[in-house]
Amino acid sequence: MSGGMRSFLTAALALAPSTLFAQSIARRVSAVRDGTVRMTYASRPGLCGDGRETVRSGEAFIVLPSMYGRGHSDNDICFAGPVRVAIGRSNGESVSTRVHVGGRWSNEDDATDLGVVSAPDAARYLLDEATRANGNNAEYALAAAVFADSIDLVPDLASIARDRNVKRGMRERAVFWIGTYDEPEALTTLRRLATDESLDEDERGSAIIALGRDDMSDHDVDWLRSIYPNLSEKLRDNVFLAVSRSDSPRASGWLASVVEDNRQTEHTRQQAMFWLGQGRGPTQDLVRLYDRLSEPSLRSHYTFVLSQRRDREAVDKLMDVAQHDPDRSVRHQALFWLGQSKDPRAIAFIRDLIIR
Amino acid sequence: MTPRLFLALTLATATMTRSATAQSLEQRLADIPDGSVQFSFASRPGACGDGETYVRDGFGGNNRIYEGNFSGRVRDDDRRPCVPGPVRVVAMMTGGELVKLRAFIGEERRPNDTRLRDLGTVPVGEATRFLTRLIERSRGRPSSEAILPLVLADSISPWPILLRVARDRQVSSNLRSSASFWLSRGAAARLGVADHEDDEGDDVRSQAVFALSQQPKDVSVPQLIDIARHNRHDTARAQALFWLGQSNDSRAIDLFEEILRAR
Repeated sequence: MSGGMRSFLTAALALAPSTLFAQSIARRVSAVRDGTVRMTYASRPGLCGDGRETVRSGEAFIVLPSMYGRGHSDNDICFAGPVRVAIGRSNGESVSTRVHVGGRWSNEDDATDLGVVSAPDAARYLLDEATRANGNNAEYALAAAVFADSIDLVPDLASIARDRNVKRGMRERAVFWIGTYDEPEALTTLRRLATDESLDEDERGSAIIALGRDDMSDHDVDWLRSIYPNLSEKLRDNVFLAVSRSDSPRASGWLASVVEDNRQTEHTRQQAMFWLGQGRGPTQDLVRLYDRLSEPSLRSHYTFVLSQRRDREAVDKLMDVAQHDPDRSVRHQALFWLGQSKDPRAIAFIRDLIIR
Repeated sequence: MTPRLFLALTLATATMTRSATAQSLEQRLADIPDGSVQFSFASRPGACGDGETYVRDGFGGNNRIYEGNFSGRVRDDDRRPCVPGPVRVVAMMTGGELVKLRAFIGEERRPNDTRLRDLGTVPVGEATRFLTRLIERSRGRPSSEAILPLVLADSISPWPILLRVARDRQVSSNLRSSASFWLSRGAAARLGVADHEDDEGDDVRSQAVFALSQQPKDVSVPQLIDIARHNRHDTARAQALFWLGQSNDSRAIDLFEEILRAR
């Protein structure tokens, strides 16, 4: 074997096998000039979908291509894979990418089915597509890559998040997807992104929000508190949101302390109060907070925060505020929010005020 | 004068009178394809305005109507005084189409505005027939804007036409809402609750009625009707009628009809 040939082979073998296979998927897709190319691969553990647009991964709830959030769904239909990708081809170009989790392909005559492919290979191919495509196709391709089993894309996603040549929306989406990984490396990456002052606030904010998880520890809460003083008002709002995900009394206690701190701006105190209300602490904590709010504007906001709780204690407190707050506008606000309530006691209370 | 000439003159005069009447406002406006034209007619007792920015409807209370929008109870403060007088309607014509209608009462601020054609004072019946036709035509903004001057007119009952419009699902929601509002206002006046002295308790009651009105209709409408019929506080009844007028609910229109038809 000549020296030249040996070095070529060495170089070829040095390429990751996954990359080579991804190239193979790319070649197979490219072979189709017009029509649809399908492929199927294994999905990440914990991922499921309804076979159409909705996908869940842990706390993440996604309706492709436009809704990305956290929360819970009433929809029980959620199939644990596989990931199904359809790529539209026209004149030798990939013109669309769509992904579904769960379900089956419908019979479509002109589709070229690549069958079941390696998940990591598909992920590499689709990640590459995501950086090349635009708009919804890029969103679908990135999602399809992240859904793949047996490949850790956190470093790649972090690179996308930091790449100024990538559109901002895509960079933020990359941060969101990092937040769907449970591995400690993902958390470390998110913390780095959250504190990286060279990044845009939107990306840093996305990283902070992604750090807020149902299972976050007191240590996680403490870390967010530690970065809080050096953040802009906007990023502080994101810290409140993240911390509110914790069910630890430490988290709600800290949020309450920000609300009470009259050295903070009114906006900051209102935001902390809002997320305290949205959080998992008991309503009793919110009820107790009222006596420590001297400013009518905060008490007015308080009536809204309380109204979002929709439980008995919240309605009781709203009725109390509607009757006894020293400020007329606060009483009116409390009454307004009682008027939005479906609680029969609220309606009876309002009627009583009218008849009295 | 020969009998024949007398008869001819009589016929000519009769024809001219009929023609002037028959030509009426609609045709006279049609003769002015572009620009603003105004006419006046007698207003209902109690109605007044500052000639430019607001009018009061004479149904009681010190509410004002600005550009057709009803404002809540307000103090007079530094506003120009509310002066009784005829209703002055200014119609804006573009390409032979009536595109906007505004109603004023009180001293005209720019009496020598040469751009404004003045048709002078017309009989109330003439004016209200014109306004009623405009409302019934249900065509865009001028139809809704015709309701206010109709309500302000002297010696006529605007309620039958407004009841018809408020029940007609074919007309625009804007027109229906406007009719429904004025029916609620008329009903409050008929019950004698439109004008009332407020105390602090009334303030709470008003807010409470508003809060109740925010409930789903199946909860709020029956309770508001009950308050409008039976509550011992005038403020609560007036507020209930007001929010019923905003509810777009046929039960509210039934109540207004019942009140307005009562002797």
